[in-house]
Amino acid sequence: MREFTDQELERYSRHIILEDIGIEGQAKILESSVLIIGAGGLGAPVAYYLAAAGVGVIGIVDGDAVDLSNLQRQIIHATEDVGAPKVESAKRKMRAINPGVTVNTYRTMLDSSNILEIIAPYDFVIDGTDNFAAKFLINDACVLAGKPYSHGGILRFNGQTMTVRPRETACYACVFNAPPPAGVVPTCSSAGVLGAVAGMLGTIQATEALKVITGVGEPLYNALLNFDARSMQFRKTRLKPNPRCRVCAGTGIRKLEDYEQPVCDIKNSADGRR
Amino acid sequence: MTGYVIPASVRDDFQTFRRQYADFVAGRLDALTFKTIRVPFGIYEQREANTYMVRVKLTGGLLTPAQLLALAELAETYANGTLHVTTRGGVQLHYVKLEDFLPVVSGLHLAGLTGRGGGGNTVRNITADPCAGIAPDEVFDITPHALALTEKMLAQKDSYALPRKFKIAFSGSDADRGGATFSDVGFIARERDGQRGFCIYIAGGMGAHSRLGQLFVDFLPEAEIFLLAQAIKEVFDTRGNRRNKHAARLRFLVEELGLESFRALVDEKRAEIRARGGWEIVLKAAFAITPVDAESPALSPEEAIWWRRFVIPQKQNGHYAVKMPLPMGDIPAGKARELALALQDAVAHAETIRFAGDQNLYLRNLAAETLRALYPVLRDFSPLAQKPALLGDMVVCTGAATCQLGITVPRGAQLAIEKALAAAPDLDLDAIQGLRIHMSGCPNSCGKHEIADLGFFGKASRNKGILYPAYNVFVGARIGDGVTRFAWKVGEVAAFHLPRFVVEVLRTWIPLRPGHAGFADWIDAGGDAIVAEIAKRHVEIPTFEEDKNPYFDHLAKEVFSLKGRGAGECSAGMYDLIEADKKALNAALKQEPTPENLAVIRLLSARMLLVTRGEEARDEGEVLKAFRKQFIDSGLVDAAFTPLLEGEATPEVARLAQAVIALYDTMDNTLTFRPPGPADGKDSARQPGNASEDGNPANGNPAEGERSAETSPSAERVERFKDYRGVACPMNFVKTKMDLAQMKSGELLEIVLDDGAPIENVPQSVRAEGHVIEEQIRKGTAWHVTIRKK
Repeated sequence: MREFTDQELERYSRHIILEDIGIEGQAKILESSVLIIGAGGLGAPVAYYLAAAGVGVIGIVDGDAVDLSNLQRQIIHATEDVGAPKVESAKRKMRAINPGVTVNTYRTMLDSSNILEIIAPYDFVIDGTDNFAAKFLINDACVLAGKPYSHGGILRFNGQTMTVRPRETACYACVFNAPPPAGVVPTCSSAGVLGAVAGMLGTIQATEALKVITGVGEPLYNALLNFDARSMQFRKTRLKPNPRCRVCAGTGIRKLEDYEQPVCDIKNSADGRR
Repeated sequence: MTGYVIPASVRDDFQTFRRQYADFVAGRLDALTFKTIRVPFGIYEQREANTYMVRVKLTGGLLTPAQLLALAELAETYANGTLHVTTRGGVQLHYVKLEDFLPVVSGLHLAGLTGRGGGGNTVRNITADPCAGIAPDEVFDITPHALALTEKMLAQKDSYALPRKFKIAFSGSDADRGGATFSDVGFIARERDGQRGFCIYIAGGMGAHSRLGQLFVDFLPEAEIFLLAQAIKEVFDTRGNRRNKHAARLRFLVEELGLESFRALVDEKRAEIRARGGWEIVLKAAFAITPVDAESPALSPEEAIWWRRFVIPQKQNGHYAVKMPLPMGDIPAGKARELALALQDAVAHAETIRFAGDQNLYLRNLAAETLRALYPVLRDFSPLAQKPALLGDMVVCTGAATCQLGITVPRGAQLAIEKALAAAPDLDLDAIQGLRIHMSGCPNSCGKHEIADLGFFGKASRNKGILYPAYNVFVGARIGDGVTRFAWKVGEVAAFHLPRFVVEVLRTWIPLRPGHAGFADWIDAGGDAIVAEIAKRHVEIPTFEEDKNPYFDHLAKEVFSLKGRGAGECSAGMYDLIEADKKALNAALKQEPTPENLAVIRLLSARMLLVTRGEEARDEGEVLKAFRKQFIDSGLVDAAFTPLLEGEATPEVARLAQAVIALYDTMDNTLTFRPPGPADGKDSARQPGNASEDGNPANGNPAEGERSAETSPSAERVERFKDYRGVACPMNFVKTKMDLAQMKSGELLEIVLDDGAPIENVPQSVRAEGHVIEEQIRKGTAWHVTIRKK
């Protein structure tokens, strides 16, 4: 059993007194590691909550710098951070919340050449990206590496998330197969998003991460959660792994390939932003 | 009166004892189990291996010359040739060997005396006013009552396996010379409407957590003394705290339940016992002696001084009692025999001897001429017989000389005081006859310092890092029905200065004596401040280099240390030292991390807990080395700290300090540490501890408590004990969960919680998680909760 200092006992007391978490669960959290891909609208609440929860090692990946237009929803960045690398800005906030956590920053764009290496040391991966190419790449990499991960996506007033345990539960590709053609689905850069919706969905992803780490409850395995913030309707769709999934069924994929990144915006829209 | 009659059941118990003794000697019975058998027979192991003390019951200190003779024989044949009168008027034989147990016990039984209930968690010797039956102020002679109750209690099986010892006392008058107002159950004679009876005080006692008795029954008919005492005992038996020996005496139960709830339980029990019968007592006739008209005897000048000091006119005209002062309660067997034979020759009746709680011997029912005839024997009986009564009235416990709990040696201090008083002939000690100077070697009140005019208890202090013996100074006790109060601390003196301190206090007090009713009255009228002021001038000692004498206790051949002290309540002396270091350490931690300060932090961190391991390193090098051996090598402190002990102290030592303080927080009363972490779970489980078996009548024998926990199936071992008083919600629950997480399923955790929100919430939350609350009891403002891990 991990030793807790008095300060730790106090800091995490509200977890510890939870019957399902307790000392044992908090110890698991402290000993866990999570990689957050994207320090944007989804990554911000995830980074905050996981740091606050005491996740021992948190990696955060983003190649971008903070832009004024990010601040409406990417709450981990402040006005004074505009121009600074997002990962550095996020790291500062996470360390401020909890100096006990280790934050690894990756100021880079993920692609098929580096993703496996970056996700390798982590127990769980959060997809907080804003484009289909990245989402499919993350799905492929996590399936290939056998990493459980949380998929998340937001648009306008809607959010969508699922949690994947590769080769055991339905993966992103089981449901969606491949990215839609460019321009069919708008990105938030072109369609907009209610900032708080990012917070809602990111917070759900953080919750999923903590559930998987501690083994509490039932993660969104084989389930796709959708919500529409306008009506506040939440819908959970039961899924089954697709026996013919090109990614996770049978031999599945053997190697990663980059998906085509649709270009539909005036501003840079690489991974890492929503 | 010829003392109590040993009930047949006790003789049966002795037959069982014989068999168990044979089993033990043959190796068929283990030492611990045998201990649980011998201690309730009054047989304790002394500090030396295979050396035992046998304590014998003498109700009200009463014994006949024939019994004194028998004791003298036994002491010469099987013990060290000395009879030791206890502070409760019983008698002890010391240095008895294991092989002599049977002849000693059967010899005692032949003489009509027993040690049954002399020790352990039993109904102990019933004490009484040594002047019962002769004191002019008494309501009636309570001797028959004390004897009747003794016989009844001896015959009850449940008298020998109580949660803790159970002490009963009788006084014949408001002056309470028997100590009824500070006993578990105390009887003070009263008469109402021509009927004899008693007012009853309960739940008093001295020692750690001393308490005055509380008035429980205003008037109890004399026929019902056993009925009530048995009812109280049965409630104590069923409700008393068997788990924690430090909170087991009746006073803790009464405090926990509240007097009225306790009374309700006793009343219920009393009705039950009354209905089942067998509670009636047979009171023997009190010894009667016919008053005679006699002139005051003509005395020589030497006799006259002696007479004034020690002879007490009885309420029966023409008869006298005499106090025989004993040095520290000891009577050489030869003197005892001489006295017994002289009494048998000179006096026709056997009602002549009483031992008393002031550790003196009293003779009684002697005509003036008989007394004068006995004078040469009495004069030579004790070296104190020709000295002021003050000296014989001093009460001291055995202290560190033989007691495992003792910190200092009050016997040595007493001799030093005597010497100092002898060197101050200007002091008229006869003018302050009756002044009580009492000394204990540790905070337990075996030397009754709490009921002294001027009391002391031994402690360990430090000067420039080196231990030296010292005493806390107490003043101002009063004793009497409705007025009893314990003495309180007014200062501290070095043991080295103690004799000079006493001389100076007496020199101050003697001239003031005529202006006050008594010492306590002077104390109340500002004397306490004066004593405190005198004490201040006797605290400081030179450094070890300047003068080593103050670092030796009186009578000690070695420099003062706490080595060999048992892990008991008396280790309170250690706590003082640890607390002093902890305080200094916390202060140092708040200072700037200068190299000097870091060195201080490291030294204090390493030294703070060394006393618990009997280590008394004198310089930094030794301290660090001893710390490494005792705490790091033993796994109590993380080995990662080892590099910090080398070279210059670094700022990292603050972490070491925190680790040591945290470790201290896990220390229990047996000085066992319970560091968190599963690896230590087994090692830190409660150990039997250094069984200590001093003959403390007043309080605290850890060995006994441990024993009761082991012998009683209901009292399971508590694996972990944590005090969460002062820890607010929900941190108390968080910490409790932390404790439980480190324990195995089925183990017991005891926590202490504050009243209010903590007790309302924590047990409920613990239960909600599936653990079982085994017990939840109130002690004062705190709650003790025992949890079984799911």
